[in-house]
Amino acid sequence: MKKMKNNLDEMQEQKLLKIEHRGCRLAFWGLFIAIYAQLAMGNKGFEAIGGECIVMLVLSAYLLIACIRNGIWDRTLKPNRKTNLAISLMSGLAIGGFWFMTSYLNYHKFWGSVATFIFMFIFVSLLVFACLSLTTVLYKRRKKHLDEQADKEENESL
Amino acid sequence: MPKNIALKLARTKKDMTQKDLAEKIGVSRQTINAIEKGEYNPTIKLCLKICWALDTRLDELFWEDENDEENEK
Repeated sequence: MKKMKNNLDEMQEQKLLKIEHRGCRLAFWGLFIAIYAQLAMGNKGFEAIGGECIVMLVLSAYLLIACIRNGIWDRTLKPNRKTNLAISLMSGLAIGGFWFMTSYLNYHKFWGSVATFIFMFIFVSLLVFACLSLTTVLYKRRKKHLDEQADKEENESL
Repeated sequence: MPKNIALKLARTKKDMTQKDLAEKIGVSRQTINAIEKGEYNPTIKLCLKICWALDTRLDELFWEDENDEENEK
């Protein structure tokens, strides 16, 4: 197939990549906020948030798989247990806090809302920690494989 | 992009592995590998870092004749 001519120069190409990068972030967090805004308003069925959830899951799966395949983790965070634990606890707090507010605003029962918070905090923290631990293992395995491949190519070319 | 043989030679002359060079200039091992294989076009900043690490000049490692560039298209 004939390759289409690129109308952009080097700098425009870099700028376009940056714009697309910001667009991707906007789409990700926009979907996240849209899902939680719907939930907060009491629209919980598949009809209300199904589409957003599917798009967000596909987007997240693509980002995760592409990053791990290329041996990329994060710009600032390190893939270790301490960081994973901190991220898990923060996620648990955020999601727990959200459900505490939703529960309290809907049912006006303080202790019931506290119980919801505790349950969501523990459940989300554990789930996020398990997911992060699994992806850390996959990332490290992939990185090792890429390094071994580079070693092999380096030795072959000498 | 053609393979960067000059970079590989300069690196081996300094008795450095790809890993050593990558650690010295603070990039990943895969990046050095991709540059040597001609799969990644580094920025001028990274080219300079490589040159400083290998005590070479920019043109010694990254110079290409205009004809080579034309042949790739």
